[in-house]
Amino acid sequence: MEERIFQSTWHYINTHWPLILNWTAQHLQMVAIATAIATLLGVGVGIYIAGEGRESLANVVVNMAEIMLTIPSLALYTMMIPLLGSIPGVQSIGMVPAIIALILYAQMPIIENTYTAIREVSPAIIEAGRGMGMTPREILYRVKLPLAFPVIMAGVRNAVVMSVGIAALAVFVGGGGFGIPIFRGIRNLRVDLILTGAIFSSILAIILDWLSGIVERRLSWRSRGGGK
Amino acid sequence: MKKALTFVLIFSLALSTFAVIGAAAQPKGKLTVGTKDFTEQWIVGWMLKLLLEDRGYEVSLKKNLPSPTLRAGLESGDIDLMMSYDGTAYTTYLGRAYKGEGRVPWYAFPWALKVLDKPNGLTWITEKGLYVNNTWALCVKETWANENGVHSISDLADYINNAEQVKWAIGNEFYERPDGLPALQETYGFEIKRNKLQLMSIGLTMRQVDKDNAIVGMIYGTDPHAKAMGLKILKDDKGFWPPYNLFPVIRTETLEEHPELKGILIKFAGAFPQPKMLGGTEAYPSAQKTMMELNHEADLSDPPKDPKEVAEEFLVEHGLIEG
Amino acid sequence: MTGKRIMSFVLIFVMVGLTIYYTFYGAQGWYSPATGQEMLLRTWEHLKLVGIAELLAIGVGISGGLLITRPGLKFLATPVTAIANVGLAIPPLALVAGVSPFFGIGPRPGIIALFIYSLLPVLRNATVGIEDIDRSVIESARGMGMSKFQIFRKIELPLALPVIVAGIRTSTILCVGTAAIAALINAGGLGQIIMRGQSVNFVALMLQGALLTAALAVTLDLLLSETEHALTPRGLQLNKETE
Repeated sequence: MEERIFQSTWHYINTHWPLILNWTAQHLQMVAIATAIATLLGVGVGIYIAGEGRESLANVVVNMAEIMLTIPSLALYTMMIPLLGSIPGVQSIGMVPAIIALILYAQMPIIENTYTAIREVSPAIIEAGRGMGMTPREILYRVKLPLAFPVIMAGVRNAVVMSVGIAALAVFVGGGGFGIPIFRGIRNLRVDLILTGAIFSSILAIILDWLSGIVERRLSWRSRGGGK
Repeated sequence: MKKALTFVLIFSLALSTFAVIGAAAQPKGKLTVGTKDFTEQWIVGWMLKLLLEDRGYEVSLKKNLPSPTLRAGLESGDIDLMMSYDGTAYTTYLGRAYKGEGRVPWYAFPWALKVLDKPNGLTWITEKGLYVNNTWALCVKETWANENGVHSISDLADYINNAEQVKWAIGNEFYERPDGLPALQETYGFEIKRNKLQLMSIGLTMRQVDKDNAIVGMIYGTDPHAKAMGLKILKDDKGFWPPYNLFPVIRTETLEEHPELKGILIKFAGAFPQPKMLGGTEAYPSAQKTMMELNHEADLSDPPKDPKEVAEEFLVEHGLIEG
Repeated sequence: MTGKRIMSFVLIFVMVGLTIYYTFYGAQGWYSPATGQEMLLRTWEHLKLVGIAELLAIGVGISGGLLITRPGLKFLATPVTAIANVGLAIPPLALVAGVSPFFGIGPRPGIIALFIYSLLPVLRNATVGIEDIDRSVIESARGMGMSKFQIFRKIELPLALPVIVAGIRTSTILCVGTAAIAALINAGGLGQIIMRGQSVNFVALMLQGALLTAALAVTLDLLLSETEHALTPRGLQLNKETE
């Protein structure tokens, strides 16, 4: 029985590379667009709330982000769909709602990490920058952000991995990606499809995790060097 | 610091390259065809896509939508064209009670819907149809049916009322829909105890029956698994279900823009066997068998074919597109 | 800390309130929402899934972590942590779906998938928590004449406990979410309500399941983060704040 499962899966994979690549592309597309926008948003919000005199706002936002992260992705997805559907002009099926839900979710760890990283820059270093005659803007761009980069990147990495997992659920709203073979497999009793989807989405997640890990490490090394 | 920035740049460039590759792999066309989430719908969806692309349209296929989402998309214009089951549209989309016992003849449904859906901006192409009757159905193991003399749903109701409660495996959609389980229980006069009821994704229901984890399973009329697993479909002797035949449904706007679509769609539906005479006793032609064979090729042949391949072969065989 | 606590309370209150609202007033045309009785049943099923998987994961994870940090087996610690980290990248849907061809469907395969998934953070944190204890503390304990078991019981376990509880918290949250997805393979729980709603696009039903799942996750997170806080030795708490 089990031998047969692996055989049919292997056969399916071998004969369907173009399709698998297509699913990969769809999956990556969702993850890429979502994390790119989430990074911009998340870093922006993180920098904003880390500013002087915004402690109480920051408190609310960061706590909110932390709580949001505990909400299961399926539940959040489910809540998003009617919300999005009620906004006129927004397509309620296909990639768009999938990506919007992903962005909302993926920006949370980035906001959290950006804020924490900027707040944790040692006051002595900021003082030194001020002493050198830097404006607050210069301090932000030349001192705080470079020092915060590794932590921000860790947040981005987290967001990327989460997005791969959540994008597999996009099939609920007619999005693409590896959710398609998994759901079609369950729906039509096709073990080969289920396993193909499961295996390749896992590989995709692991590879992206590994790649962003490399970027993270390179960056933290660079910025430490640059910060000296 | 500069190098760090370069890295970020490269990383985001790489990400956006993926985005572009992905975008290129999914063409945005003039027509959007939507399908539900099972093999039969995929096959007819691919048929429409391949056929219309052959006729010079740019077609994008949105697969795997839950039935009401698909219909809502069609009404709102996110989707231009779908293959709709008449019984589903009548009972679920339009929410009309169907009291069963064959009160409405099967051939009247598409024409009724043509009228009923006109105000919704939708046009049913009913000149020809895919008379596949992909109805809901209940299945049991052949051996169990013979042992207990259960051959129809009335028999099953008797069995449950007089002998014992049996385990059920049914799909989520079947549990909720107006033409689903609650109304069925009412019509046939039996009640399932909640702890006997297992809800799951539709395909798994047959598996549960096959593995003896349930006695009664929900299945679709054109599902090839029933035959392969030796499952018996119980006769709907009270005529609870309306017919579930497939017709192309298109947004009236879209049809006005491309009037030639009507001819193409009629020709396409005509490739399936049509009923010999309206209202005859043999209501259904062999289209159900045709569809079951197509589903079989896509899910059970060894190795299984892709829905796209199956669709392509069918279209070529019937001379609708060049091979 | 208190800010988060208050916000969590408000959110839980709102989400449970909305769920109750939909339970009573969610009917729409033909469709009726799940009854209160059924919601309780599904919540109980959900908790049972999470509870069993989590208890198994805690037992196996902590003992595994303790085992591979023993001197003889230390070479295992790094690869195990790495594997746990990689495993956590696997999409929950893939895991749930991937389990079904081998273990069938129903609550049992659901628990197997949940167990595998929730084991990883516990195992990782138990290993890291014990590994990270300052060697000098253990050396001085040894100097004081403590036995190996005493060192383990009095030093290693209490010091590693906050990290382990943090792992249990991560794992529980993941578990609640994955349990919702496990409804796909007939494991029951609140996910079933969500899937039923999705299959016919009935918003009230979808929200009933989703809101209560979310409320469950936030509640468990709150409880466990309080536990984590209470278990952290005073000295370490102070340390954290001055850092």
